[in-house]
Amino acid sequence: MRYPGNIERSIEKSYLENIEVSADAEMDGRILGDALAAMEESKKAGPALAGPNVWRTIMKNRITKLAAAAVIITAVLLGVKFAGGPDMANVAWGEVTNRVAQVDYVHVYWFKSRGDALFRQFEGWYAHGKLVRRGDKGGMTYDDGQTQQKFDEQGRRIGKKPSLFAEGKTFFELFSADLLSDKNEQLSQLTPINVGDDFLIYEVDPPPDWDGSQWLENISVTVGKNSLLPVQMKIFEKDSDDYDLVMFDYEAPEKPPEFFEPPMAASANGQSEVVLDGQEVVLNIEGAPGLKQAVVRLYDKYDGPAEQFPLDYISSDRLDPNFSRAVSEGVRKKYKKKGGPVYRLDVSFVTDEGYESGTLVFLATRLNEAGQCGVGSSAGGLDGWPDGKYRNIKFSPLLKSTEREDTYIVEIRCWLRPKDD
Amino acid sequence: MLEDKLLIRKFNRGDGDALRRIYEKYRNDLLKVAAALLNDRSGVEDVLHDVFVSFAKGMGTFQLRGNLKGYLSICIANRARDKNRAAQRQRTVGMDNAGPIRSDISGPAHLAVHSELSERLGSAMAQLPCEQREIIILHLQSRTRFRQIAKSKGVSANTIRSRYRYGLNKLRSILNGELR
Repeated sequence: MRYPGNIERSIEKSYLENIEVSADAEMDGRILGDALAAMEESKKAGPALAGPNVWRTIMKNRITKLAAAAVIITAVLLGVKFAGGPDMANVAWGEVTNRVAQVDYVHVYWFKSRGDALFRQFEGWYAHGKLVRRGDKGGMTYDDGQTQQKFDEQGRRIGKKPSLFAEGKTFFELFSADLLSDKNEQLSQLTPINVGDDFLIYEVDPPPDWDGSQWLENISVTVGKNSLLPVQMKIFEKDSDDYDLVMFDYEAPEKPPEFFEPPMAASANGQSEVVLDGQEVVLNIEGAPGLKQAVVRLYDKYDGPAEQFPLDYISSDRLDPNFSRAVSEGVRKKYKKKGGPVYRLDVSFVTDEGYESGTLVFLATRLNEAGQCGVGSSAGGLDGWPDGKYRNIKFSPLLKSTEREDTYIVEIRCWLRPKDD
Repeated sequence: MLEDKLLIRKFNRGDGDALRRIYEKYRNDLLKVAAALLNDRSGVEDVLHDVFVSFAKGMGTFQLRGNLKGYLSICIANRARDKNRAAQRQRTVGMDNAGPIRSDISGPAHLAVHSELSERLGSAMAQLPCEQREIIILHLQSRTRFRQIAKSKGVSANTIRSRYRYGLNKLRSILNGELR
């Protein structure tokens, strides 16, 4: 017989929580009394360990005293400021975010560490409220402040949704997933943990109720001492030695306005009306070599309270129940943040050879928001097709409303990615 | 976490109230860690005492890397391990003969373990290798991150993760043996 329960949960609930420990005042007094006494001893020992007083040593000797006076006079005459004093240690994070809000142009590099190596993930250019990102494989994202559009490396549009700046975010809030927002009052009072000759270093821990606190350990931001602008950000994940490194360059030559304009989006490869909870619809696919048809079904519109969002929203015999639940939980979180309605869209494809792909049963879709998706063979895997060839079908569905409440237009942009692509 | 950093800053400046606040904030959690790791639970107060006195001596130079609760929990685990070894040397009794953790102790910290499953888990935990037991307790009781434990032991986070997984598997097989 197998142990039936979740072992971690059992340890927590049935073992650790049942260890009752109550410390009494007597014990507290003993421990704290001894600890405070040890602290006092350390205080007394402190000055002896602190080393000689340099200023006193200088002033004791006539020659060094004169030399020190000469250095000070020269510094005053040259207008040199002694930096790194207590003032810089008190520069609150709020002052940094104020400076960031004034930035018109910045070039950003984003790297990921893997072991001892760093890999570039994307480059970004932010100018006057517009953002362009180029992924390491050549895919581009254009955000004009109202709409964000994603294009693959072939220039095909694979996603469209409201701008990331629509809520008045700065580029820095965007890159730090809101953690380093000037709206975070607790954070705005944060002072540097380190003051160097040229830089201030801030370390930010995610608040427990912040969305990313499950995965993010902390963010370390290096800020220029004179400019008070972030020049580097390191993002550490929990339980991992890897980190993301983001570098900000404010002096790169500014890109021309046309650089921030997205290319004309190619028309859809297939389009049809679909009825909510109705029959599946077969779309003829054009302009996507290797693909003949897409089979689409739309159901499960949800527009209720986020708290009641069904945690079995995604369910399938093909999927592990824990995976389905985790995906449903993810959809619920996003729903809570962005609102609804949300629809479940199933899409499968038929290749020129007549092979049918599997469906993505967990495709939660919003109106007018295109996402990037992919499916392989129905047997699972990308080379599990009847002829043994590798096929990865990438697609981007877009759902639009019509005048009829239960009828929608679904547009599919798709292409077949062979192994060598 | 931000509060801890503030407390540490004050503590390093010699503020006794900051030390008192740190003690009161984490005392109960640390007692649990000690109770779960010690073979003889009458030593929990000693372990907590030693850790806090040693921590207080570091005033002025203490640097917080990772989270404070995790750091203190690791100190408790180290001290508990030393104490278990010392007791083992005195008694010349092997861990295998030490038996399950018992609750019939007296002392300033009053401890009790309830329920049959709880007793079985306690017994199974006592049979785990010391390192695996430590990692499981640190991770589940103190929420200490694998990375922080790894740094304290000078090994990789993956090694700690593996030990944690082996520990859970062993617990499962011990409990399966009992259920069979």
